[in-house]
Amino acid sequence: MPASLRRTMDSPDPAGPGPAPMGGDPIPPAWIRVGTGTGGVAIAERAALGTSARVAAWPADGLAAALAAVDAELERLDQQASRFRADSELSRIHRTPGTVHRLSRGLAEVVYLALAAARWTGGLVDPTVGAALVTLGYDRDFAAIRPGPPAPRPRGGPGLVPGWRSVTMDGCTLGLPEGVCLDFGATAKGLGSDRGAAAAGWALGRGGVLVSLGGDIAVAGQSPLGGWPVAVADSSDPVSGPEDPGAGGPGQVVRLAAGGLATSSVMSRRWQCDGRPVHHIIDPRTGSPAGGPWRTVSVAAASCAEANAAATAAIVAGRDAETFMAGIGLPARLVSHHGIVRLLGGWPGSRGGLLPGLLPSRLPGTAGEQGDRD
Amino acid sequence: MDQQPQDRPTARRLPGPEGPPPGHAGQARADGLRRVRRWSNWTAAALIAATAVTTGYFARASTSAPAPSPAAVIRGAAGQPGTGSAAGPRQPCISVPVATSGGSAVRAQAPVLSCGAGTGVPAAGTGVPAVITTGQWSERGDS
Repeated sequence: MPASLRRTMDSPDPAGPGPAPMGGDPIPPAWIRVGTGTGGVAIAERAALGTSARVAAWPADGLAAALAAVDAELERLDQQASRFRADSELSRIHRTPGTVHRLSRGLAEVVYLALAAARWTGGLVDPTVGAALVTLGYDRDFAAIRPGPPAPRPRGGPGLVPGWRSVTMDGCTLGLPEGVCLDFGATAKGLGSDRGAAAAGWALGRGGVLVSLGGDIAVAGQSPLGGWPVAVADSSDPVSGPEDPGAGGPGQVVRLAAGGLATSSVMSRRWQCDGRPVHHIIDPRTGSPAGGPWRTVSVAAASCAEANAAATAAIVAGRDAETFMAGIGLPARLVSHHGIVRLLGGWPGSRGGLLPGLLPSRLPGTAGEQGDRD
Repeated sequence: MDQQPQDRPTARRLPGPEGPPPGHAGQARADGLRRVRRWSNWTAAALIAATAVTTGYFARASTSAPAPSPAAVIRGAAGQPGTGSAAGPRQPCISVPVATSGGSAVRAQAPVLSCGAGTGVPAAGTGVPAVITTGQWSERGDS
């Protein structure tokens, strides 16, 4: 058993006397139980990684163990790869002069995954977009971004994205050119869900678990009958939309039995920069927020990280998104700025249904593999 | 010098369908054959049972979770979904989303579990979107 999981399972329950209004073990204090109306499944959520985390587990009495395992994984990932934590490993690397850095195994996995996603998508997602995001003002936790006067910094541009090929990995040794700022926005949240689901599945030992990080979802173990029902939302209202899935965008309910499901949207994480609206999905070819006809793309894949990368790449691909998705052959749901929905690669029809199961993995090391990542 | 046919020991006839020859050696041989046949039968039965179990296991593991059959839905509704049994906890049946995938920061809906309350799923949006389906590379065919 990996050491990280051993620690998770052997460590004393950090839950303390948390609320347990529906019975079962006390849950960690940061989590809030979500009412389900029955004891079959237990759900809780909390703020995490600049977004919300939600965990659903069955049998319900395993929720506390699942939450503790997810907590450990999220903290580990945040400490490794956050661009916004001064004490994270990634921030230390960004501050350290030199071009060669020794990484922990956990961060090495994050970097390898980001580079694999870049290669897989032909560079449509790229971990070297960090500087472009910083110039647009996304240099802190999203909740801390405030609209303000134009900042004295250069606008986005292709020169701000040196390209993923400039980054090298040899074992746990990272080669990073001076000044290159890494951002794992296209893969890290999905990886966090994958890690959390796998760890929670181990901690549960039976039944099944769903982990959602800001809507990027991974499942492990056995799903409920017919799969986990998941709403796929799209929001067309840039003001209230990101907080309200019913704000005007077309939605759908699908069922997920294995792997992961992720949605990328230019309608969320929007802010004002120099008086113009911008969003967080950067086109590496231009160094600016991606344009194109698609505002929201959802993808199902063998892992959430893979789905996350594919969904973001489809947004960036713009008019070529359908060709791109045809090339990778994953089920996808694309919503245009005009509200047109396109279902591809076996995505269930408008009445919903089960997403294709047992999809082959396109990215190495992302389909629920567990290892010592410290 | 070549051995002549008449020098060979007298050939003994193998036991035929009429049964073993009388005597201690014949009885021992018959017992041995019976024991071997019995072992063979048990081995075959064990192999058949193991094959059946293995086939069932892989069939279950390699098939994505099927849509709940009406019987399953009815059972889930009548019983208590998720309550344990001697074989382990029963799979719950959930008909309302437990999470929402809508891009970062989209708030999830509060789920309600209810089995047997119809198979329709609530739409998360308003209005009826125009849905265009393409199946040019779909293995299952889009619906």
